[in-house]
This record gives sequence, structure tokens and C-alpha cells, in this order.
Amino acid sequence: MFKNFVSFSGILIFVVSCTTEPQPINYGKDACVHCGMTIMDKKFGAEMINAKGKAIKFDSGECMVSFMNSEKKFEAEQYLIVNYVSEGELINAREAFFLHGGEVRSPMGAKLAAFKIKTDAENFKTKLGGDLLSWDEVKKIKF
Amino acid sequence: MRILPFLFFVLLFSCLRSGAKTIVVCPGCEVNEFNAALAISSDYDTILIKKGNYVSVNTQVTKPLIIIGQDFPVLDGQEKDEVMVITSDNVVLSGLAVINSKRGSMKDYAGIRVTDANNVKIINCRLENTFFGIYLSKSNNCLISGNHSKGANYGKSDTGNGVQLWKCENVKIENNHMEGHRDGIYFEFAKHCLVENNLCEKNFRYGLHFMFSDFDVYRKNTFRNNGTGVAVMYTKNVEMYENIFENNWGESSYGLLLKDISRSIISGNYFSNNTVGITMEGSSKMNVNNNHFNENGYALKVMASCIEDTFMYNNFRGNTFDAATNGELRENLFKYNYWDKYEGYDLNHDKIGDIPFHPVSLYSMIIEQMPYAVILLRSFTMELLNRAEKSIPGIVPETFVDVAPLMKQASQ
Repeated sequence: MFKNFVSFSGILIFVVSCTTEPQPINYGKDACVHCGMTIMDKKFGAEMINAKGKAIKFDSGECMVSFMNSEKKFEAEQYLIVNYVSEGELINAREAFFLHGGEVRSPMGAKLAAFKIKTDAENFKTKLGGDLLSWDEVKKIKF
Repeated sequence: MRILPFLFFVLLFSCLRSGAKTIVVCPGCEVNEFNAALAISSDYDTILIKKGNYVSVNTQVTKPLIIIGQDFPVLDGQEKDEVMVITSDNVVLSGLAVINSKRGSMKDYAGIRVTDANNVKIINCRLENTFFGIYLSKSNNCLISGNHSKGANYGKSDTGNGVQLWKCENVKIENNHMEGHRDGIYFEFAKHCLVENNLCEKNFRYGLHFMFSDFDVYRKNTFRNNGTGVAVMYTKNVEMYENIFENNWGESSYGLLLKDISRSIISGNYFSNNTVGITMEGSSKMNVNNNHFNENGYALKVMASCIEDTFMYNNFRGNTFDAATNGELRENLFKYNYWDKYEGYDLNHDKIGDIPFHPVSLYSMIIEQMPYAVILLRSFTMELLNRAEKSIPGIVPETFVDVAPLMKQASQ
């Protein structure tokens, strides 16, 4: 009986500790961890989640990248970024398509937008200008 | 004889100027639509719009005109697009009621948009139910005066800014009343601007928000009941005088939020009833003097990333915490401030306390680490710990100190 309890509670702890699911950004309430601004613009936003499932939120991709390049420590396992064409939808930043430059107007003025689908990114590139980048290229930019 | 061509041009010019006519628009007049008046107007004409309702969906003003409203005629965008777009220099708008722009998250629809135009004046207009109020981009030497704007989605998160400037210079914003927007006034890449005598209240995010906007001055404005205070970020050489910051309460709420700002002056301002009076991060070479901090949760939060800031002749009264920080401060000077919690003495009667004052209490250090310790606020235990810390300092940062506190309030 005791053995059962131990294994059950072990499973329970395992289940609880592994919910590293994205937490939706609460627009108008959550503040950006890096710049302190209230997150407002639903075309933008980003999130980092560590192995324990703790999420920290940003108002823009540029804030997440400059946070990563700063001395502040956060062992992130997942990097999520908001899809420009779908309000508040968090997508995997590693697989996202980024548009940088041109007439893109992101919250911190760094002209960075993220897209889930490549054709969306290309469409906005013809409309707004700028360059298409991958996550690895975006990470290297000094915002 | 050489003066003749000159005279000819003067005469020609005066003829042209005197040719400017006035077009009257009213519901029963020959011209009964605003668009029709624009179509028949020529440069420097005056359009006088009398009281009435006029449809104005994405109306383009492409030539220098003086557009005057009598008894606030209503220009209605019918929530289809922007109400009015100005793309010409030297346009004057006065006394209009601009209502019902479209809302949306993909485009910043505005009541009055000014693009690539100089010397535009927007005076005494009323904006209601517009997503963004007045939106200036790449426009210089403009005046925005005496307008009142009530945002669409009043007080909700998906609303636009009251006045937005993007890449503008020499713009004067005075005597406006902005309420219920995202940011009352938002500056992005706006330089050499003056913001004076405005009232920004009940805005969802900030009363005033500056990003990358250097060499601006703002004075005598009132910011109250805004969701999360006032923010000045990533900016240098900004001067703030005699503003009132009050009733900015909330979890991430401040009177004034400073982030990565340098070489700026904050003087003669009143900070009353805010969660935090001023919070500073990464700011350097700031001059904070002659301000009043009354009845705030925290008067000052100065993060360890701030260097070479000066705080002099400020009055701190009735704040729950006078100051908080997250580490040792480097090269910041506190001198000649008045702290109502100061318990020192003045034996030589020079009106300056003989022992230094440490504004950061042990309890504020504890609460910084453990927010739930707030339950011990004003408790005997905390008082005891604070006293012990004062007698034998160990935890409170040594460098956060007023070396010469005033015995009486600094006079202004």
C-alpha cells in the first residue's frame, strides 16, 4: 500500500513538474521582464520557459534577445514568440520566420516581427520591406 | 530699374494671396459636404464648416488650407477608416469634432493623421471614439493645442494613443486633455519637442511615454489615475519641470518610470499617492532636485544599475518607504534632502543634520526579496529590527545615504 502511495505521488510530482506549456500573455496586465513596460500590442510579445515550467514574458522579440544577451540569468528551454498575423498566438521562436527592418513597427523600435508561415513573412516583406532572418540570425543582433 | 522685377513679384504674390477665398460649408448651403469643399478649394483658402454632421472617411487634405469649425461640426469616419489625413504643409485645423475612426490591431487608425507635413496646427478640436487620436509622423514644426481626446474602447487594453509622434521635431503640445487611451501622449524618435500644461488621465498604460526621444522638455503637466504611470525610456537630455504625478496605483505602477535614460533633469515635480514615485533603472547623470514626494508607497526605487545621479533639496513626507534598492549604489549623491523619518540632531544650528540618514530601511530590503512580508508592515517586530539595523548597520546598503539631510523642508 505504502509502495503504491510512493509511486503514485512520484508520478504526481512528475506530472506536475513537467507542465512546461506556454502561458498565454495577459495583454494589458503583464509587464515585460526586460524593459518593464506593460505588454500591450498583440502583434508582438515573447516568452521564455525554463525546465521547471517557469515562464517570463516580454513585450517584443527584441526585448527577449537583449535579455538573452545581457548578464541576467535564465536557463530557458523554450523560446516563444508571437505570430505577427495572429493576435497573441505564441509560436516556437526557433522555427519562426523573422522580418527585420523596413517599415515594421515593433514596440521597442527595433523593427522586428515574427511569422509562423513563411509566405506570410514574404507577403509582409513586399509590403513593409526589410530582410527575412532566422532565429539564429536574430539572436546575434545587438538591439 | 532693377527693382521692377522684384515689385512685379510682390504684386503677383499679393494678388495670389488676396485671391484666397472662404468656402462656407453647412447642411443647407450650396456646398454641403466637407469633401466637396476640399475639391473646389485652392491653396490657402479658408473652409468654414458650420454646425452639422458630415461624413469624412479617409479624407485627404493635400493642399495648404485653413479649416475652421463653427460650434464643433462633426466629421464622422463611420468606423470605416481614418477620419482625416493631412499630407500638406501649412494646414490649420480648428474647432472640429472628429469622431468614429476604425479600430484594429493591424493598422493604427487615427482620427487626424499628419504625414510628411510641416507647420501643421491642430487647435481646439474634440476627438471621440477614435482609435488613435492625433498621429504625426515625419512632421516637423507643428502645434497641437487645446484638444480633447477620448479614446475608443475607453479604459480597455486594446485602445490607441491620444497623441502619437513618430520621427518628428520641434512639435509643441500644449493645453490638451487626453483620457482613456493606451498612452495619453507617446513620443517615438521625437526630438526638440515641448509638452506643456496637458492633462493626461485614466489612460490604460502611461500618461506620457517617451522612447528614443532626446532633447525634449515637459513641464506643468498633470498625470493622474493612469494605469501604469509615466515612462521615459532609452532617452537622453530630457528636462522635466513642475509636473504633477498623482494616483498612479497598481502592481507595476509608477509615478515616473525611468529606464536607460541619461543627462536629464527632474525638478520641481510633485509625486503624490503613487505606488512608486520614481523608479530608476540603468539611468546615469540624472539631476533630481527640488521635488516633493508625498504619501507614496515607495518614494524612490533606485536600482543598482544607476550611476552618477544627484538627488538634492527634495522633500520626502509621509511615504511608506522613502527608498528601496536591489544592491549597492555607485557614485550617486544624496545631499540636502528633507526626510520626515530623519531622527538626527543639529547641534551647531546650521539647519543640516549632524548625522547622515539612511533612507533604505531593513524592512524595505526584506520586502524586496519577499513581497509577502508586507503582512508585517508597521508591526512591532519590524520596528525592532529596523531599530537594531540603525544602531548596528549590516544589511542596509552603506552607499545609499544622505550625507547632509536637512532639518526643515527645502523651500521651493
